[in-house]
Amino acid sequence: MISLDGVGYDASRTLLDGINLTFAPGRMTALSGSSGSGKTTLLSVAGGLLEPTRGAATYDGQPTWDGSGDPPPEVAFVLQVYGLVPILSARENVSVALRARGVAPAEADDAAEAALADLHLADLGGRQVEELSGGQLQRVAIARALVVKAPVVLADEPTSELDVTTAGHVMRLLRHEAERGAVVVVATHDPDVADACDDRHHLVDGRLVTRGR
Amino acid sequence: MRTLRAVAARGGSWALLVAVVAVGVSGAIVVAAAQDARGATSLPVLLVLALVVANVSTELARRRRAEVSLVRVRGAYGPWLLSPVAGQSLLAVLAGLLAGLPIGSVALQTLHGRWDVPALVGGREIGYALLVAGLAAVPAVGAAAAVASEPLAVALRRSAWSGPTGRWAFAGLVAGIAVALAAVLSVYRADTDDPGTLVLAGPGLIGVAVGQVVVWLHRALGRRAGTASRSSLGLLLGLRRALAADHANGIRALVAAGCVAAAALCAVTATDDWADETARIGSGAPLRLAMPDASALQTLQLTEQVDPDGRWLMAAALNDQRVEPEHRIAWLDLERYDRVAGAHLAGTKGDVADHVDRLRDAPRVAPVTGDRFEVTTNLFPVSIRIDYLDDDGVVSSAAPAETGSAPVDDCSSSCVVLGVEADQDVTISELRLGSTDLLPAFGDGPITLTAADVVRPLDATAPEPVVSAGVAALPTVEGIGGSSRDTIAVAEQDAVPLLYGAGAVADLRVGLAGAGGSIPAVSPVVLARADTPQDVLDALAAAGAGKPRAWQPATRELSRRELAEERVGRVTLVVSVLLGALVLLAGRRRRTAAAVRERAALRLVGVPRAVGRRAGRVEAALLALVVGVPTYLAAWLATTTVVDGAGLVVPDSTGLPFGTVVAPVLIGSAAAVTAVAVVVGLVLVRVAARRGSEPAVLLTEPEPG
Repeated sequence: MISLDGVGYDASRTLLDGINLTFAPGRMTALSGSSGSGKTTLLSVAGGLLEPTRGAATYDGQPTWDGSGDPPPEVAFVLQVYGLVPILSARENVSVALRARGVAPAEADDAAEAALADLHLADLGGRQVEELSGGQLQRVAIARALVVKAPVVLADEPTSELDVTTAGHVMRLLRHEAERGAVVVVATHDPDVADACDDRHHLVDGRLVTRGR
Repeated sequence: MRTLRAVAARGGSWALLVAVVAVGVSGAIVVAAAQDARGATSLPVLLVLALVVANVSTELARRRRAEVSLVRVRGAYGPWLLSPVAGQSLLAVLAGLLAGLPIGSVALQTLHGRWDVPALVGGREIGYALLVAGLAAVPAVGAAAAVASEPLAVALRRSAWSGPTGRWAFAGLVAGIAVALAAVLSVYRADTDDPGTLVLAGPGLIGVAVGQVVVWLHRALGRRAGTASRSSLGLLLGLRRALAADHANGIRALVAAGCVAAAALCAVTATDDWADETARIGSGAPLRLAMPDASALQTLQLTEQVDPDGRWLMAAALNDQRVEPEHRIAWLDLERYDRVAGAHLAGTKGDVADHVDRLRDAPRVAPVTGDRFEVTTNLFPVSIRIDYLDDDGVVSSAAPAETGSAPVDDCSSSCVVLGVEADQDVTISELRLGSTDLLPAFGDGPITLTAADVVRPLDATAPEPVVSAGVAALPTVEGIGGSSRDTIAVAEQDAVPLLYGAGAVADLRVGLAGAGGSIPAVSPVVLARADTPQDVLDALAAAGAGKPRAWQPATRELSRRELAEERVGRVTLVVSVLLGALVLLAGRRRRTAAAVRERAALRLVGVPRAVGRRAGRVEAALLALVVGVPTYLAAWLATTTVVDGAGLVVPDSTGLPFGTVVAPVLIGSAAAVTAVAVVVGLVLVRVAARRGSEPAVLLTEPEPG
């Protein structure tokens, strides 16, 4: 479980303020709000990428921020700008996430192939990511997050570049993650995506204005 | 105005292009001033300059890729699109020209005193500068056009620019093939008598061609490196980084710059070495003093008087007026060779240190002193006459009375006995001048004389050991006294002291043995160490020695054309190194930003930092190989074929032979420096990327480019 207790985050202005939330295992949670409302910042604080200016973000009682800026190993991210490694192929980008967790190269590559196939990218595994379209890049980023079977999946606008059919497929995969017991949090503009989640929270100017379904 | 605003926004890349053109322009100015009309050329360095300009211009243009795409979306095309994109690069070329002119002018003024180049920039130099700027403008506009002609659908994507496409990629391919063919042609024509421009441009052509081949191989390997997927993560990442297409332009330019620099370094070093070695061999020792009024014997005696322990001075005599090797001979007082000339000539082609013992293994002159000579014979009365060379070099004689003793004139300091004769058959059982027993000089035991027959000392007729250069055999040489004398060849070398590449060297004391009469063709000299005390030099001067002439590691041995080659080589070396260094700076900010995001992406998925460091080492090692090995091969090919065949130095018939330009150690060093420069460039990027590479940087869009 991820807990946010009185979390605030200040940059040039206050991006988050007074956030008290818990993200439970086995549930999909949607964070909605307009652009600049603080969705991405909230995900980043929850996942340990940013240190909260105020309050605390914890996973199972341990702070997610460890001082380095690296996310805890239990957390898998899908970033809005993908965060893929340009020098690697699509398959290698997915495989690297497993190999970083100690999975043998051959096994990691096989799992990466399967994960890409789940997202209809089986034929593109050998392509350099620079050769892929935005939607393809987004699916590779999703595959990379899902393949590690992390206890926490934090997805920032995971369907923004996808058509309706593919977006629905991605949501089913995220649902599957929740069903295996993972904490799944999705930041989204899309009401349909938000509706597909178990819980939804709405942010306005860094403040939580609506909680629950 | 828009162009100026763009310049201000991209000051780093723009300033880099200005610096590249300024280096090229100033280098061309110096080359134009230094080069000889027939020989040296700046073409190799111009080829490297073109590559580097293209490289930096591409970086400059790609920084505007997103902006250019938006302008294209609005419908701009053709000149309306190209002018703002290429305008920046052209403005940089113009600024580089304006900066390069004063830099070149300062360089000329600095070199004016040393190189005999004009102090002011003239029309020829300005013409070269304009030519360079014009040549730089071509790749500058070409690179901008390549960016502007990218398919719009691709340009609008967020991915990095992967290089020219379409007709620009085809043009690049054609240019690469053309350069490769020109390089082959320059190698093919290198051995012809009139090499021409193509051959003179050879090092640049070969460097660019090999660099292009490496880029093709690099690209092919990059596409086929899938099997590395199963290797360790550090190796995989390092391999992928090293084979990234982004390195291609830098590799090509660095290999070309490294090749041209290595070839220039070899040429300059070989030419300088030849000139210095020639000067060393020609001088024989650090100091040289002519003895215009002395004989060889007197010179020998003078050095013994002034420097009895042989610490600083060595007498020598040489006959170097003719060009035929058999008529050129130098006699050195080899007893003092190691001490006086050994260090000076060590390592040169004219060093005879290894042969000193054999050259001295012959009867040597034994100067004696005294005011009377005594003789004991088996019968009386008899008239015994001795011939001797006295202090004035004049043959004298003395006829003893039956008492067996007679005075000799002018032997108070020393003289040399040349022969003995009697007016009837007689056996001499004792022959002494002063306190010296002369009998051993004539053989074992008593001397048997036949009436009116001169018996000379053994040393007067013994073959003279010589070390020769430029001739297979020397059956006879002209003796110090002008008479021919048999020789024994001890060794054949490329050169001998004082006579360069044609002649023979022998021991002075051996040569003086038995030499009589006048010595018209021989020039006696005193060779001296650099640390010879002033009082010793003063004593030589008092005895009639000329002013000491110090050996200078000078290039005066070179002809005008050879000097031009050497100086242009120096400029080429400096400009190539500067251009190579500037290549490393091209796109550094972009590459650092990309490395930051790559590092952040790896950290996001939990790749340990140690793996990233291991990948960095693999990348550095691979790129060092990818750049270093081709640089070595290109430079080796350029020096063995084009530069060696171009005949940088053409010695005259007696000159020191010019060896090969190929110096594997120098080539290896240049290649190693190029490889190390690549590694340093990578390390700088990677170290800079360590700062701020937290995964949170991935929350924002990357910079375009």
